Amino acid sequence: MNCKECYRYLGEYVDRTLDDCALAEMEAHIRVCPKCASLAAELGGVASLVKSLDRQAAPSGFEDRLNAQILHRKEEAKPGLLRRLLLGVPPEVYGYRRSLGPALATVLLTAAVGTSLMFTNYNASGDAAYINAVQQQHVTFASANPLSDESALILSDRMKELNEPL
Amino acid sequence: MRYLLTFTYILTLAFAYAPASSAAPSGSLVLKRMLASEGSRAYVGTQVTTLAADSNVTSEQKVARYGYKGMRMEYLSPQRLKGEVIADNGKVIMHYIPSRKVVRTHPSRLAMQRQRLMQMSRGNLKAKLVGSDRIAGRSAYVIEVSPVRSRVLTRKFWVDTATWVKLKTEDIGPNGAVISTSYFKKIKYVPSIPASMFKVNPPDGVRVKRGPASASRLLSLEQAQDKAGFRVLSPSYLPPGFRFAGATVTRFRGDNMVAVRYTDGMTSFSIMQVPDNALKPRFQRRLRGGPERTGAGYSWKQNGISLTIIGRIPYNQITNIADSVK
Repeated sequence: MNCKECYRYLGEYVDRTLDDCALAEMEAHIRVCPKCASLAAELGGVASLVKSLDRQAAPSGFEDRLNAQILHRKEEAKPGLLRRLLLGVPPEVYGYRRSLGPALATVLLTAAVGTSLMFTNYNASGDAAYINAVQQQHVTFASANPLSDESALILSDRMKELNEPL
Repeated sequence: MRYLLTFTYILTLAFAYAPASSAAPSGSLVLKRMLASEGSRAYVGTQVTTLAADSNVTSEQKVARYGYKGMRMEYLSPQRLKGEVIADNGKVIMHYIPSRKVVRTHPSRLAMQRQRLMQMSRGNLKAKLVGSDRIAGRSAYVIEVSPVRSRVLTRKFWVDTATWVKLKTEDIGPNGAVISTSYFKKIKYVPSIPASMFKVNPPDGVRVKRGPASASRLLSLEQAQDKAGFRVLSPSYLPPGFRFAGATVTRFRGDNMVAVRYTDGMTSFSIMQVPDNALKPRFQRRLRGGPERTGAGYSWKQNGISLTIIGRIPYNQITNIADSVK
């Protein structure tokens, strides 16, 4: 799993609705990617906060008023920059209006994939199982020293595992 | 060897149960008795651990220890670790992580501690009595212990004057800053602890993930070489005071993984070695670019072997060690 896929499933991950296989992949990625890990932690915090709030009933007629306002805003809304670029160029100015949209979409997609690949190469270049084995092996030896502070070593090891890119 | 072990064990028991005299003992005597008590005393308590250097994390754990027979630690905080249980029954460690619904198993640390205790008597440490204090309502001697030659780490212990159990530990770096602290908030001595305490009984649906096979026996470099099936590399440079402590060979993805250990009596580092092809291709490609810091430590490739140095020693010393590995 890469950052892009991780981002896609983040909501389901936070809600704990992913299946076991996707969950395992997601957790493996989060262990190696600090950005996704922090995002997941942040969302997880918000989600649990929201879940902890008491449910409140909306005042009567609220839903109707809200829907009416949304419809009104939609009608009033002016086209954004992207919309104007893709659709709002008059045909008399540029004769190839139809090809402009796909061309721009291609440029944007290429940029997005390139960025995603850069992230993927940087973050997923670890080997979580190897790193975990190395850490465990060392902690086993280090904490076997009767003079070592076993609890500090174990805690340090766990925090590294939770926080650091592996 | 068996007689030596028996003798050491008897000596250990004699030290552990020897009554404290009224006169202040020397630092080295307190250290010896503290080490001896590790192997025999039974106690339960609540311990607080703070990592000042790493991330300023504080955790609280319920702890039960019965000499080398068993250890159990249950996290009460921080929230991210709450509910995790680590149980060592002298053969294997079971680490239950409820958030992942997994129990990880690792080789026992207690088993290796017996062997390491023998190394402590080689006189590479100096201990000084620096005062007295009260911890968890009990009176304690405070001793400062450091390796004779190395300046990497100094450790302070608060040792119960009646039972010789360490009540507080403080790790101090070469610049005098405290790296980590752990101390008992509460401690209660008991005659024994049932073996069932040193097992984890996770709820249904929790999978058991086996770690590397037992590597509690330390081997010589030659023995490790024979077992590994590839040429085990070692450094020609070691930081002052460090020496070879032993090697272990475990299995990793169907290959042998060798860990060569060095210690100054207080802190330690390991040089992990595994054939290149045992690592994921992406990680291999990454190391092709030269040595670098990874999540595990300082990693590089050499002679078809991937090596990683891991340990609590200064970075410049790690690079010096790596440069001398042949």
